[in-house]
Parts: sequence; C-alpha cells; structure tokens
Amino acid sequence: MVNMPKPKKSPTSAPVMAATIEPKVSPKNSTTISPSRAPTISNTRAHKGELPETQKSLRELTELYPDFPFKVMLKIDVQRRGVIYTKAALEAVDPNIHMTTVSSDYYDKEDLSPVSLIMDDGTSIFTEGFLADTGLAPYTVDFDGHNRYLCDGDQILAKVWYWEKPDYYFKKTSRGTPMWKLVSARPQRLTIHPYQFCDFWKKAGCGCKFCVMAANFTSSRKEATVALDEILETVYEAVLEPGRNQSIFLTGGTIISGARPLDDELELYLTILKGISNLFGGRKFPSQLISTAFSLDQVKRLYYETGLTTYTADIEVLNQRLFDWICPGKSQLIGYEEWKNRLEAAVSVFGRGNVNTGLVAGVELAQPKGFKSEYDALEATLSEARKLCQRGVWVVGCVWRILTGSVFFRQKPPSLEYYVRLAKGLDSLRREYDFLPDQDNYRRCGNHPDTDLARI
Amino acid sequence: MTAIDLRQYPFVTAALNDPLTVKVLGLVTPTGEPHLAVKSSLKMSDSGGLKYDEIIETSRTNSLMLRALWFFEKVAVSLITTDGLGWLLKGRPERVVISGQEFRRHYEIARSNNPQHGLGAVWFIEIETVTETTLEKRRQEEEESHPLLIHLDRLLVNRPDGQVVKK
Repeated sequence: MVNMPKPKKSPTSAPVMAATIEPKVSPKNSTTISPSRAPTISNTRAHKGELPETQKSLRELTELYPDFPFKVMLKIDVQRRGVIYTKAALEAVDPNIHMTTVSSDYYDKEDLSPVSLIMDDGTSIFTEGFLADTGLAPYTVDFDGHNRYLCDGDQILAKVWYWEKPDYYFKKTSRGTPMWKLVSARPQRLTIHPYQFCDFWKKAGCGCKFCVMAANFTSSRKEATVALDEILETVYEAVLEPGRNQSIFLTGGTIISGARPLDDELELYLTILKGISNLFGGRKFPSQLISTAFSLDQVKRLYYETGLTTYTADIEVLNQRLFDWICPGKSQLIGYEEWKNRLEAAVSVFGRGNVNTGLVAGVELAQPKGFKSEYDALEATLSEARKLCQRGVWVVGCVWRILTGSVFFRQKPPSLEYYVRLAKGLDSLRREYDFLPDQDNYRRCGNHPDTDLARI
Repeated sequence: MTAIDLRQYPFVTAALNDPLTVKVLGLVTPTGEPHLAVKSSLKMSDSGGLKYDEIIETSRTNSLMLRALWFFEKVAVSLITTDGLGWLLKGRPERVVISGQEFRRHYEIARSNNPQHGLGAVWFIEIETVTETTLEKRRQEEEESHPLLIHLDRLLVNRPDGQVVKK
C-alpha cells in the first residue's frame, strides 16, 4: 500500500506560502480591476456558493503542503470550480492572436472567449466545456488594461495569458474547410479527433457516466468522421510553423465494429498515422494515441506499420467495481482486468515508459457507488496505480470536471486536497518506477497536475 | 522588493549587449548545492529585466529556474566584461515562455545561430539588486572602508638605515 502520512504544517514555510496568496504583481492601475463585475461569458452554471466548511481552502492547503507548487494547486482548483471572464477580460481577447475557436471530439467552440489559459510558469489551465452547478464559486479572469489576472473574489492570485493561436488555424483546406475544424491545437501539440462520436453511446446505458459526448455531439450536428485527406493537408500546414508543435495526438470515441472488435477503429488510426508518417519520411515521430484498449495484435500493427511512438488506453478509474458502474461500455466490451492486460501487452511493443493510462481522477468518489471517504479512495487508487507501474504502465490523472450533459452532472467534486495528494502520489510513483514523463508532459498534454510536478 | 529597470544602468546595458561578456547564471539546489551555468544568450528584456534562451528542456538549470519561480527563490547573474568590469545582478524568475509568438521569435534565432539547436524555453528574470563587482572598484571601496585590512609590507616606506624601500 502507498504510505500516506498526514501532512504536517512546516513552521518555516508559512510566511513564504502566505505570500503566494497575495498578489505577487500589483496590477498597474489596479483601480480598474473589478472582479465583481458581472461576467458576460461563463463556463460554469455555478454563480454562487462557497467551499464547504469541511474542505480546506487554497490558502490553507498552500500552508499544509509547502512543497506543492501554488500554481499547480491553483490550476487544479480552477478546473474544479470553473472560471468566468469579465467584460474587460473578454474585450482583451484578440481573435487574430488568441485561440478562441477549437474543435474537440464532440463539439466546436466558436464564441470569442479564450479557449484556455497559461500562467507565468508555462502551466496550462483548461477552461473549455460547461461545468455543472456543483455549488462552488468560480474563479474570475479580469483585465486591468495591461495584464490579465486570475482572481478569487477580490484576491488577485496569478497573472494569466490566453493561449495563442497557431498560424494554420484560420487557413482553409483545398476543399475550403477551416483547418481549425480538422486539427485542434494546444500550446505545443496538435490534436486530431478522427471519430467524433463513441459507439458506447449508441446503446442505452453504455456511455461513460462522466462523458458529455452524446449530449454535445447531438446538439453540435458534427459529422462523426473527419475527411482523412484534409487532416493530412492540415497537419502538414501546421507542422510548418517553427517552434509550435512538439507532438501529434490522436484520440476519438470507440468504434466497436470490424472483423474483430475494434478493427474499424484501428484501421481509422492506421490510415491517418501512415499518412502522417509519410510526412516525416516514414520515420517514428513524437506522437500519442489514446484509443480503446487494443489487443496485442492490433497494437503491433500500430507500432510496426506507422510512426506512432507512444500509446495510451484510458482506464478512467482504478477499481473493478467502479469501472463496471462508471464505464459500462468498456466493461462489457473488454473488462477491467483485460484492459490492464492489454496495457501491459502494449508495453511489450512500445517499450517501457511509452505506455500509460489516464484517470478521470475523482470519479471514484461519485455516489452512490463510489468510495465514501477520500482517504479510502486515495489509498485504493494509488495502490492500484502502483500495481500498474509494476507491470510497466504509468498512470496520469485529469481533474474530473463535472460537466453539464453528463450522467454525473449532479455529483459533487472531491476536495482540492484530494487532488493535491493524488497528484503527489502519482508523481511519486512515476519517480519511484523511473518513468519519463515525456509522453504526457506539461507542454504536450498539459492536463495532468501530476506531470506538472515532474518538471522539477 | 521593487523590480529594477536595468536601462537605468548604462554600463550593465553595455555589458549585456557585448557578445564577449561572460554571463553566468547562479542558482541553488534544494539541498543547498551551488549550480552555475554560462548563458551567452542573456539579454535585457523590453521591460528592463533579463531574459535568456534555455536550449535544454531537461537541464538542471531549467528545473532549478522553475523551482525558483514556484517557490519564490532568488537567482543571480554575474557579468564580466573583457575590460574587467563586473556586475552582480540578483532577482527572481518572472516568467517562462514555452509557446506563442514570443517563443517563436527566440526559437528562430536559436535555430539560425545553430541549426542543431531547438529551444526549450525563454526565461524572464526580474532584477532586484545591482552590484558592481569590478575588482578595481571593490579594492578601492575596501581600502577606504577597512583601512586596517592590509599587509604591512605594502606600508613600509623606509629601511632602518633611512634608505627608501624599493617597491
């Protein structure tokens, strides 16, 4: 079992960490800052509410965990609580510079709010998607005429910048499709969603309960599949930009069909990856695929027929009973133990350190079937993560963002402290078992607090 | 502490602009070990602080700079010019840029300087203190403020027979 000592307050750390709560940078002309200004665009339905009394605040936790970077803690909390933009912050968006549009695997964001944020330490904060009303007050992004700030009430917590758009974004393919609709961007990564739906949602009760794909896909009226020739055209154009991209990432919903289950999903990825590999002279290139857990034979084809370098199959939650409840489609098609077996088999193909699995961290606390205590949930998750590490598979976590449109939209998020301890635990395991974080590091994915910690 | 605008220091500006100036970045590890790195790309930023290109993403220097930013630790930069002038600048990492147009500008310069190079990050440092470390200036300062700290042979003027001591 993972040893989880109760955190102790460091007597020498309090003044330093207290300083992190105060504005490090005084906004010029600070009188223009007005976090109470009514927001015009919000990614959360929660406009009221405070932290439950039983949960420790950001300020308290910075004192309890002085070795945990404040910026990473803030990132986690922003993802738990959501963010709203003031009128001034929205007026500070320049669509010619900043990313405002993005195509995800089930909807296209086309309003003029920023896609996401980046802080002064290079840490990204993902803010897209609509959070359900969890009762937690959202953070605010405000602008003072010079800088953008992340605020909690009247406290300025950090300077933030909006993600900048890549060169290719507003270009069009030879068939006239805007390239941003085919390949989306993160600060240092290209993202391709070849299949923009998930077959598990075609059968009642089989979709993952935290997922909003079905609800958003139906309303977005997107095509389920993307034209492959246009993807290649866009990838080529995107890669031309100097210093922009470090990795190409593919993911999408499950496609069950084929001669063997998942063969059609495999063929879709093989076709695209072969095409992209040709752009790099047939060589291996920095890349990641998150797919349904393929069999060994299927994984071998991915590795030997394409330039793909790393492989991920997200198990979502590290507990058999909860996997069966939360991810019924995955459970029925493959099963929890077989999912792990397939991950281990993929290590024999891609090599140790090049295979990992992702968690929607926190869903293990969903009720009524989830863990009743955060302590038990953490123990169980880290214990199971250790077993996966022993089999050559490392584990990353995302913050569970309780989204409108998911089955779990009425759930409550775990505490910030839970995420702090989980991130520390997963980072410790990665170090103990000597896995490089490169496959999923802060500048490629940027959505894992545990790999943010791997930077130092 | 308030950030200093280095544009107010013409000698420091000149030292930073001179490609022959030796520029050394000093950091401290979590266990208190010193860590020094020569950073020829150190320049003045538009806001009067410092900036430099970090070529190696996984370098110890890059990691320690991030640690300093995360935990509000200080860093130091030593400048030594070819004519013996020296400056010690102390401050804190202000920002690291890993993407966007600013990053791209630095990336293209790094690539044009050496096609084998990529770029990990662009670091910005806010300076809080500036100290001149030019040896001659420091020597004069010590002579004035600590007149007793001198070897006696340097003070001898006459031999016992009244002859002047040759120096």
